[in-house]
Amino acid sequence: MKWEGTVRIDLKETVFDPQGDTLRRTLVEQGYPLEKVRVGKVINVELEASDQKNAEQILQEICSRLLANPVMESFSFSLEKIPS
Amino acid sequence: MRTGIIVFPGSNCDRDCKKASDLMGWTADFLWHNGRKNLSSYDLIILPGGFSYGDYLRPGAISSLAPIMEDVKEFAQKGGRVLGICNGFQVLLECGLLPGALLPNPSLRFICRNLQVRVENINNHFTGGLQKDRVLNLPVAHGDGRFFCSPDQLQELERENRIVFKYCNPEGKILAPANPNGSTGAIAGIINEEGNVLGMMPHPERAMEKILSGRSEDGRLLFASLEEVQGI
Repeated sequence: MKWEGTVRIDLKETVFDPQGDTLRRTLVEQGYPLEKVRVGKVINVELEASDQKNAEQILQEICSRLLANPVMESFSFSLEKIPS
Repeated sequence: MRTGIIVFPGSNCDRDCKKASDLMGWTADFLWHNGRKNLSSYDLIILPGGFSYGDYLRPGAISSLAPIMEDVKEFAQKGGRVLGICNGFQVLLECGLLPGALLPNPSLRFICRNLQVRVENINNHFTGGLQKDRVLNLPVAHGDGRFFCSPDQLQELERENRIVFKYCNPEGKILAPANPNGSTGAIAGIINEEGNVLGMMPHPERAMEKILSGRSEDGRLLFASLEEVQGI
């Protein structure tokens, strides 16, 4: 079975995000009432897995091993079956 | 001394490290990342600076899973000395040989200049030949140099005396303006618990000859120390 996964990676709240802060300042200068901007990443993957549990295990593992750095980032993901 | 210099796609200080080894009269081999290698005959493994894998995802993240890193980890576990400089430091953090992470500079600018670091710890296999509190003039060149760790990790690093270099002013004072990238605790270099894995942001290999390095040869002091404390 093929699955489409969407991985979302965010900087932890305690980590200063200079990109987000620069965007916030720019948008405030443009007149928008922004109090906080944080920049994250979205990674889309397609994978082969026997069932949803197996697909979740694979995603959990690749997020922990490579896609996110637990020192400074947190991650979450969603999964959808690709119709065959 | 025999040095192994790991080369990743995008490393760009590998030749500088070789040149530094040559100047010290050492033998140095380039070791390509994409294969396994018995490292037991080396006195020192260097992970050089650069932009391995184009800094994709996070600097050092993809390189940390390169096949040769298994051998580097094994070498380190057996007590071999591993020196990670700049991108090499990022690789050491990503592969878990050292704690913490390196984040983008708060200015979002690439910082390339000469600055000063103070030697904080000489009880290890790298800086044993230096004087404590000695100020070294070394260049930095990085976009992601903001050392970050949790308050608990910082306490642990301090308690275990594992901070080797701190950014300082020319007089050796640790002041906020002397910290170029907002690093936690002004940290410029740390070692592992056993004292045989050192990661540092400044480039000692670029401060070997006065004609090339803004009149500082202080990199030689670190390389000479490496030779002096060999085998301890």
